[in-house]
Amino acid sequence: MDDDLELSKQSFHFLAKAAGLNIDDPHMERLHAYLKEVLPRMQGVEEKRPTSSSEKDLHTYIQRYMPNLKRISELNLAGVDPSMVFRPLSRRRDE
Amino acid sequence: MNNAELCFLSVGQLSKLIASKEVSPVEVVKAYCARITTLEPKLNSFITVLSEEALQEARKAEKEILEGRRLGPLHGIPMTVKDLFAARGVRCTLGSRVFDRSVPDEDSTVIARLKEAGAILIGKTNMNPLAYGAIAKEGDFDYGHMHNPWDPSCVSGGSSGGSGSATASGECAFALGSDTGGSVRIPCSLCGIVGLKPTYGRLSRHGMATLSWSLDSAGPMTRTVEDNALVMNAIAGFDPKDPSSSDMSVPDYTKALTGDLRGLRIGIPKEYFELPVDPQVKQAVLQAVEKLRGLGASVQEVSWPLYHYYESISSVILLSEGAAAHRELVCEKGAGLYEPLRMRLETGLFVSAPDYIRAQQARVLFNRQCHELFDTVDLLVGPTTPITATKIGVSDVKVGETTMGVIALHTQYLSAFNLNGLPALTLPCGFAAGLPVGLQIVGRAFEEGTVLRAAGAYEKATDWHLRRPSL
Repeated sequence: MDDDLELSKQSFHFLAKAAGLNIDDPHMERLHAYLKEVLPRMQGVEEKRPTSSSEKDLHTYIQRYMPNLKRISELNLAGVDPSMVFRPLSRRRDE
Repeated sequence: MNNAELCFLSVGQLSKLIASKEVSPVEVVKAYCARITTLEPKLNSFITVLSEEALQEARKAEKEILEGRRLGPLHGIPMTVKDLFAARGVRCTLGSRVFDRSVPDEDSTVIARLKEAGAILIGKTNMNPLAYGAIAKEGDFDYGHMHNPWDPSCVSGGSSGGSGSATASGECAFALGSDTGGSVRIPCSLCGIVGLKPTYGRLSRHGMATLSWSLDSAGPMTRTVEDNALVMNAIAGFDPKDPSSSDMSVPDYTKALTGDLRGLRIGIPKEYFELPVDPQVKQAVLQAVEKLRGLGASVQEVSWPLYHYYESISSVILLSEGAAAHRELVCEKGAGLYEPLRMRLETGLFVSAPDYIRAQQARVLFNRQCHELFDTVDLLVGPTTPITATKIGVSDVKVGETTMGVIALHTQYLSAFNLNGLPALTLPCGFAAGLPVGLQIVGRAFEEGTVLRAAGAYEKATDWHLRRPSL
């Protein structure tokens, strides 16, 4: 993704609504403020440190987690089946 | 024997006294209830105390035992469970006021098995909301902070903190917790007790609230290794109600406690000590390793180069699965949730499916490399947490030259084993500035017996487990 792009409020609302969140909730403003910095580039927030305590918690959290998406892309995952169990349903004798 | 002495007996000791009718389950439950009443203002280990119900069960147990119908070593023993295990007729809050009025009509499988074994539920313990570990400021958690019995101004550790403080302080004989990234092992390490996260699939998750389907495990929290084996004997085994449950046969875990470590090969991943670790913790752990060597084990350094990816992989999986598990909750009742938890769950909604699947691919590489280590060793050993308990409200600490978040430090040696599902146990191996230090022992899948064997031998040769907090 182009580093110059950012998550516009319109796009955020679109995604948030699709995720089932109430976009009219005032809380969405705070969520948007952080996610727009983080998700499009999949890296941590380095600027615009927040001030309120709950925002600081989110800031710390996203700083920690979102760089991880980028980190995983360092690995060569070609040909690796994901660790996701699929078993055809069958009935055990003791069920 | 006074109340405190009775309450600090191990399950094994208490069981013998009950079996020989020297002590009655009624007497035991009364002693624990009195201790809970005394200590709760300091510790806040419980969300719900079930004194009356427990006393009623104790009378029933007493009658059965007197009539020669003793069910086994857990009959008449008071236990607590983290408040995310469903217990029929008892509210189950998950540590959140949103669920304050939620009352399940069925027991979780592990509770049902413990009740069948005669254990008595004396209460449900406090926890980080929804078991999503976080550091909170004073008063932030819905049911208040959980305090460490060794220093009540310090955390007892998340997320099974109430179970940790209750067990360490003698408010119960043993407890159950759940572990998604260390939530059994963290409080056990910080409170100086024994905690086991068994192999994924070994214990049923039926009736245990989900945070992450592929990472969650229940686990026993006890004051001794033998107690851990006794509880495992009662709860391990296949459960058709849990699709991830394994039908591998379950041994008698107490038989693993031979005290003999000859022939056992221990590996220390060199990557462990490339990460920030308190020098006193490191020293205690290395001394413990020497003790294990002295008991007959061989010790070698091993290398797990992908270890440093543990956090990236586990956090993406946890974000995604946590958000999926609680999507309706956060969308419909998000305003009622503890704010940092709400933000985490919402953030997870924005992680894409390909990102999640790539994390699951990376998990395979990560686990393969760990699996290969077990070609040359039988166990991996190292610190449980790189720091001891921090003061409540502290979110960052300096370890050596590095300042890090407390949550990240707590999970540094732990979430790797939720990723690969291997059995991992912590037991006390020393103290730093008056606070307990934990030693983590990890084994091959379904080899809890080998883990307990090493832990049992170490415990027998040391006295850390006999020390008690002065409350």
